Amino acid sequence: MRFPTSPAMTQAAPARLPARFTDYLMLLNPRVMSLVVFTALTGLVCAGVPMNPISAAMAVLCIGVGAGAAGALNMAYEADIDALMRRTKSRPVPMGRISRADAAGFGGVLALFSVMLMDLAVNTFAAGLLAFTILFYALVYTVWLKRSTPQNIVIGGAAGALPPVVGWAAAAGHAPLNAWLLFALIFVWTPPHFWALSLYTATDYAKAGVPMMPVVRGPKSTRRQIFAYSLLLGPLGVAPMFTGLGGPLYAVVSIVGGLAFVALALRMLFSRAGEPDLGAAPAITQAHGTGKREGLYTVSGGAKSARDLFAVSIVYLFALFAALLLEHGPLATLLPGLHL
Amino acid sequence: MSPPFDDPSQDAPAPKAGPGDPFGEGPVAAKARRQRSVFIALALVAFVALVFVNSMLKLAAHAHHG
Repeated sequence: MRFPTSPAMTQAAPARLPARFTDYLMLLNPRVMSLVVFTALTGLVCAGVPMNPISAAMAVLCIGVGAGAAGALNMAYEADIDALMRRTKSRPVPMGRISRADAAGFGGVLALFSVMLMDLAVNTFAAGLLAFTILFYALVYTVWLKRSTPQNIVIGGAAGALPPVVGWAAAAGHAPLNAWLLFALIFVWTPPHFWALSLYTATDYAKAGVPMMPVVRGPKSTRRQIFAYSLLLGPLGVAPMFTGLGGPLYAVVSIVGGLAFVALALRMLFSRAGEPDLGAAPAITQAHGTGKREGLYTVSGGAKSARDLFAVSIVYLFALFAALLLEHGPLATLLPGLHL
Repeated sequence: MSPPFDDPSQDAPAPKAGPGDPFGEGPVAAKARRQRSVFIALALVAFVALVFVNSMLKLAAHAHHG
């Protein structure tokens, strides 16, 4: 496969720097990996099927490594884009520490190992779902959708939404309606989350030629679409209460969180977030070679409403899954009558 | 006349390398390479251990079910 290139990439990396093992860890995108592991663990626990703790740990490890592999494959292919954006230009490939071929090889090997171990240690259905997730993210999203349509993160969001289903399948060997409800939650959450971020980083996306929604359709249309997705997400977040998946704690979290999400989306709808005079890109400082990003939440003017929605969207999703994890994990043991 | 690639005297001179730096890559690159090697070794050992533990679990489960 031929990798796309950009002039900024060759300018950014005039000399090859030695790759440290921490650079390879950065290729796994630990932030995304931790969210994937958390949602997968929630799916696994919610399945309610007794599982050997070592097998459960292996399943979560495989999902985490699989997510990291997908991230490495993504960074190998997108190095030309990453080199142009402040948020991503300190990644190991655009920094010149790891070649794209090495990053692709690393991701490919990890993907194979994670799927193989999942099949050996857990079950074939979960391994198949994991393989599908990695391929969907690396090929459908990264290679095809990302550069071709503003619906990239809508369709590509399926890859990020699958981990709880994989976790559920690892425990139960199948994926019932409630597992797909968790999928739907993350799937519908993804567009408002990423579009809120892209509203105040649109200049970078435009520079890199990525057709994100604010770049293609403009900020006003993006704000409207974020609000529409939020109206869908609020009720969907409450749905697990009615399918027997969520208990009283989940009810409180999903109702309060859903209302807060919709309120912030409404505030952003009537703001000027993403407008050229206000959408100041975040100030980003780089710790050399560590990929450490600061200032992701630093914006000015009307873009604050988009920044707030972006930040709250992370807390909202974390709170929903944490509530489910608590109810099906520790609380189910301590308070067995919680689910009436 | 033999082509130049048959003549060992046409080879590029070997890099000047000390015993602790066999590839002549400098101390920083050598240290990074050693760390990567250790990391790969640990990852392989961890993988083998995981497969072993999994095999034991499967054997125990089969033995338990007769």
